[in-house]
Amino acid sequence: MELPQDGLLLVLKEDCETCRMIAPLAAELEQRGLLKATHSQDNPAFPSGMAVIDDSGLETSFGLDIETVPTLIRCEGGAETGRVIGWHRGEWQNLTGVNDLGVDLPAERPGCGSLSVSPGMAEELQVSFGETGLNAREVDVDFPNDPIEQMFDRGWTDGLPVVPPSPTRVLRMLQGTSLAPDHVLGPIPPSGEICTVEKAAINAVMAGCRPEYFPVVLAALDAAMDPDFAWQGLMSTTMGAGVCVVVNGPVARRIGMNNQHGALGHGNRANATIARALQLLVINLGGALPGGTDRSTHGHPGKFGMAFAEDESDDAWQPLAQSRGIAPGKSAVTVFGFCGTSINNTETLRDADDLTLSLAMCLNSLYHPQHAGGGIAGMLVLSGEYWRIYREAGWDRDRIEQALLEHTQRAAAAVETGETSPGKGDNLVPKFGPGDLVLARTGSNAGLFSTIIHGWGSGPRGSQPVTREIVP
Amino acid sequence: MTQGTTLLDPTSEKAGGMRRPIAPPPSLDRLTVGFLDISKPQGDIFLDRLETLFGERQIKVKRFAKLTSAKQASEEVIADIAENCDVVVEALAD
Amino acid sequence: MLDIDRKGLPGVAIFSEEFRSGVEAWRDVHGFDANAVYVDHPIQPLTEAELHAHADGVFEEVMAAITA
Repeated sequence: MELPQDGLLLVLKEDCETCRMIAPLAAELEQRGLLKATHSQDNPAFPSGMAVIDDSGLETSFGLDIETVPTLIRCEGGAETGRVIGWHRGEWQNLTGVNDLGVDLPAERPGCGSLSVSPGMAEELQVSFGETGLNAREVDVDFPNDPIEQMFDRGWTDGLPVVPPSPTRVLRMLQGTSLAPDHVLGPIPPSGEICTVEKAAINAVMAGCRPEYFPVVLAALDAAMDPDFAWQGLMSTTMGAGVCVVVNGPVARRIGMNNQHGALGHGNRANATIARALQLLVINLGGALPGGTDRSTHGHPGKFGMAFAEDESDDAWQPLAQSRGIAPGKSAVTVFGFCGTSINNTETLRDADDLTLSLAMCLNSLYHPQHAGGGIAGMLVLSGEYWRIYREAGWDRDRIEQALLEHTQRAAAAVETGETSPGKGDNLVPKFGPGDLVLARTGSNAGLFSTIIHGWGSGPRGSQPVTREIVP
Repeated sequence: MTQGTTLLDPTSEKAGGMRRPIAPPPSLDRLTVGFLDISKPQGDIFLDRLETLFGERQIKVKRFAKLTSAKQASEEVIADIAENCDVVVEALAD
Repeated sequence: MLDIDRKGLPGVAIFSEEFRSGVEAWRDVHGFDANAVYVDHPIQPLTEAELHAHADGVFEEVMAAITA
């Protein structure tokens, strides 16, 4: 883009009262030979009677960083030496050297927003005219080919349609982080290919994430890459494990996550897409699909990805992230490898002790009623009604957890027969090892149900939950 | 609207962006091979000979044909093939 | 072959040599690395015996494409 060698350049649009007000001044400056170039953003016939350059494509406006119209720029030796934004009589007189310019007009008047900074335009213009900083290979889909079908044909999806990752959409997604696109995040299983922020953004776009979800996606990705999480084992196991992401802290409300009706299911964009981004990375960057390196016998719907926010409305309930060391008030994610969910119906129980005994029986069925001695993980998700029973009895997270661990112990003989009732006496065998039972609270306040999220193998030889603070 | 779309590659880009076809079976024993004739002239004669060769190896063949070589196979034909066959040979484009 | 592959069936398509560059281009456009076997061109003027000879010539290649 070339600037006038010496003289003035004006950018304006007809749909702007201030621009219409100064249009006669522009004509006067052009007649005097001072105004060398006038660029119009919306109508090349405005101002009428002048030699106007059509900038409806906004290339000049983008190149000159125009945020407000009118903007008057002085050029000397082909370079910009000053500009005035909006109308200010004194500044216009100073910049133009015309001391009686605009004496009949108000002393000043603000301009209007430039079309080049309208919502969504910045990224479009950056793709068209600027440097995007993106390095991923571009795949052109010519009209009339359908990009949605093309992505299915290329094997880029989890079986559901994905959002076409155009450069504009990916640039918008990258607004959700301060990390550079080429910042290295780590390896994605099973291939171990290195994931950059850009590749994560591409797959987050495809998953349907909004840019404000991206810090959550990045934190979940960082947590999943922790060796303790054993992501490689989870994505390849015949048990068919997916990634469950539990979100805590202010970010959950800020991005509109669901922690009420149907929190573990469908209907909410953030809940549905955050973990989906991770699963798409495993497919696209990791190279895994069922029947290939993903050896799931059955799999389950959660392998599309599951994310939910804990209900933190009651201060008496310690959020999961805080129980795992995150400071109060901070936002964090916890990733948990899971192989399915089941619902437990204990609608007749109203007493904390009875409820605990009943839940213990359900937990003892995890994996198989005859499995005990640790080595498996489970997450018990309490609904609002269950929490109300416990809260009214004065129980907190720690007490509930300890009671469940105690009541999931059984005598060896009971384990052998698959008896799920809590055992009594000495020499009891625990169902869960240290850290294997995780508690969370979400869902509506109606319904005496709990959900068990079935984990995978646990501990150092399996997968362990990992928590990460979300960094904006 | 006649504009195309540009997509950014979400993969490692090592495979050149290509998806591999469905993996073939280890053997054709007890399987049915569908022959889809794209209906260009001479293609049926070519496929007749292939059918004979398959028959000599006791491989079951079922014949299908497009209505015209000018258009893609209809949904009905593709569905019929999918329902009745395990593997497909499509011929003969020239 | 894309419509067949979308149904989950493995397969191979047979073309005359004239189609080779077209098949390569089609693969790039669709991002699908379809299996292809080629016979000599032309096809239209051939006799029945010549067509049979073409089939004999590619039979093993076709078998290799549709068995692991």
